[in-house]
Amino acid sequence: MNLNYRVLLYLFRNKWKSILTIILFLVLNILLLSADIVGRSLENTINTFIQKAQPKILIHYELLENIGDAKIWSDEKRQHREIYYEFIDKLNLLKKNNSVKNVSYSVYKYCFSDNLSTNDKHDLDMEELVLYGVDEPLFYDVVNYGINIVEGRNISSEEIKSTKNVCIVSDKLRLYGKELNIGDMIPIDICCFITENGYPSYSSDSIVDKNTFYLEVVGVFHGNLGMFDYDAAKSQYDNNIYCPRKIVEKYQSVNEEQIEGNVQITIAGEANNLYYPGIRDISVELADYQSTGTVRLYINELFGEYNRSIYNLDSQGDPKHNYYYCIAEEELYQKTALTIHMLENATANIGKVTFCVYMVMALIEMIILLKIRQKEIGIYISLGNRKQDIIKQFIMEVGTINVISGVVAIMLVSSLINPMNKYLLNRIISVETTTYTTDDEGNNISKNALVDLNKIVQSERIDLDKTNIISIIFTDLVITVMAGTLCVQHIVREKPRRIMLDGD
Amino acid sequence: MVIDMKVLEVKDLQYYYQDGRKKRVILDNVNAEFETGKFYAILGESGSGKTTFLSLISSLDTPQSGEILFKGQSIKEIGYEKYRRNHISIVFQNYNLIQYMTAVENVLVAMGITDNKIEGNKKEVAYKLLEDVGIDKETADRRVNRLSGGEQQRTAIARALSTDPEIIMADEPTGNLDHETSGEIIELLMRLAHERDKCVIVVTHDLSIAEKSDVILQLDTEKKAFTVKHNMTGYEW
Repeated sequence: MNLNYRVLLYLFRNKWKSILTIILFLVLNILLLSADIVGRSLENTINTFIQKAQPKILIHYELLENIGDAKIWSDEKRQHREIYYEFIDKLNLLKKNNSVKNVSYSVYKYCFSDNLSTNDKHDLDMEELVLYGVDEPLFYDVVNYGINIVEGRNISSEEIKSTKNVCIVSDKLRLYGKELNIGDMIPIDICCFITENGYPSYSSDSIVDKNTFYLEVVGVFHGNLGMFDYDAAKSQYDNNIYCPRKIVEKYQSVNEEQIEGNVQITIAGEANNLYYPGIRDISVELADYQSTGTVRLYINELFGEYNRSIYNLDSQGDPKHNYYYCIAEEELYQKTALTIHMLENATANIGKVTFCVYMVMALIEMIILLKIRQKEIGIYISLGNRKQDIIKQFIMEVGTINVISGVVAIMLVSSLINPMNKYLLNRIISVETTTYTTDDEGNNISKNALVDLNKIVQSERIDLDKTNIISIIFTDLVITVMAGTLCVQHIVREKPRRIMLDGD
Repeated sequence: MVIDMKVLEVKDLQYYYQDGRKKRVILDNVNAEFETGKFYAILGESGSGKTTFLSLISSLDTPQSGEILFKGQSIKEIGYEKYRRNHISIVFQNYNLIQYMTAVENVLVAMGITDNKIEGNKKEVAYKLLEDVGIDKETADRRVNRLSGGEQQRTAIARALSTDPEIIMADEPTGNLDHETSGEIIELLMRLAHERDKCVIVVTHDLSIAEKSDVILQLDTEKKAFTVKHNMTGYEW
């Protein structure tokens, strides 16, 4: 009868003892894994929250009752379709560089139809985007537009037909440490959610859609976008964003068929603070543009200001311009970060304590188990069994129990981790925001609300970290095996006669 | 014809332990010789040290001084574990079987431990050994905690035989058994000595067992040494 068979025989013949031992180790393993999960859950929360809570560039698309030039705002329930874009990489980059002030991004798209005229200064003539070598002018010089394309590539007719999303980026972005090359893919998250009230906030009533689309960098332009004199003059008189009327007019007549078949271009770059924080020629076109109407663009300034300004694109449109205050990302982050970091430290400490408890419990459990089986050890010794074989047998038993309890613990925790994460989010962390708005009469109203973190981070799913699992289970095994070995060594060190007498 | 061969020799064995400041001598310069093919009874009163002596010659304990030679070689040189594994087997008063195993599994454990070669299928050999000691196959497949005392002791004897040792040592093997079963067990042990040429050493306080033995070693409580009597024609004190 070999050692393996002896191990299995013990485990099966002493089913209840084995199950009890497995349960004891299972509890300890679950505690260890849970401590790790809570820590990671909080870490995940804060990282996701930072991403989600960063200032966004919102494109507020309102469905109006009427089309055409008449703008009638319904006083009743408004449904706002808010779509925000995040330049994830860029925003994170800028965040790191706190010395950069008043920098924001402008996001806008051009939608081209087949009959674009090269005289239209705000349009980019697709045919002008030709491929040249690095030292040659790569694009048609559109300096008048303030867009000086310094490198780029052709957009093929196939790409046009497939409505591929491309973008041209400012070379200033390269200053922020990210090399933007032709062909790079910039991800943009689009999240559509509908609010019942008129003022968007971080917590929306419902999210109806979320997806990511990618813009391929097809060109790099130098500097910022310029403006026409007319536009600049207009901007002095009101705070509305300059809106290229022509574009809006054009869009009002654009139907979906015209939208299809066009390459949509988004231009992103550093804001020219001289005029507006990042907004230049605006045309906002979305893939799901459904009807004509006024498109309002919300711009968040990333640093220094808490303003979110709404810019009406249609100068004939909404007479009101509302200003929103909202708690900036830093403040929101600061409110939660402290709590989250404290909790992270606490969970790290819980993890350490659990680990120590595990070690002690494993040792105690080993001592008890082996004391019960001291007589059996004495019998093996009287039969002439080698001490290392006896130690091996008990290590194999303990190892088997540990592996079984570890696997069950992982399965249990995996199934509970996300419900637990969700539960923890709103039990442990809560954030209150204050929004200041103005009503239709222009009165300032402040509103407090509890941020439902689950709505912000709800899409994030946590999985058990494989490295952590392996290291925890491996450490368990090492501790239990060491404890078992020490205990068996302690027993077999005695004279066989003493072992057998004590076992009786 | 059985040729008796000296298999175990004990020279000037001394064993004591410290009881506070006092040194309690259990064995003092004990000498003895054992041969194969003989049934030895170690007789003595309670507390005379006979179990201690058995512990020493079975290497379950070590003497303070003296030598124990197996076939002329010190058991310390052979290695205590190896000596127990390959050359001796011990039968205990309380059987010392592994309770959650069956009778045949207990025998197989010993077979798995010994380095001695076992011819044939081990399980079949185990069943055969058990049958030889009066345990049928059905009983052999039962867990030992379901067996009677006599059956357990027979299982212990079968286990002792399974490793084919030269010496079988038994410490009060009939201590927990009734008179009839005790007789059967002793008969079994005697057959092992005479028919299988084993050296069987039995520690007992039972005179009836001593009567049946070939050699009686009586442990003198005062002298802490043996008085040897050969029981050729009958028992003599």
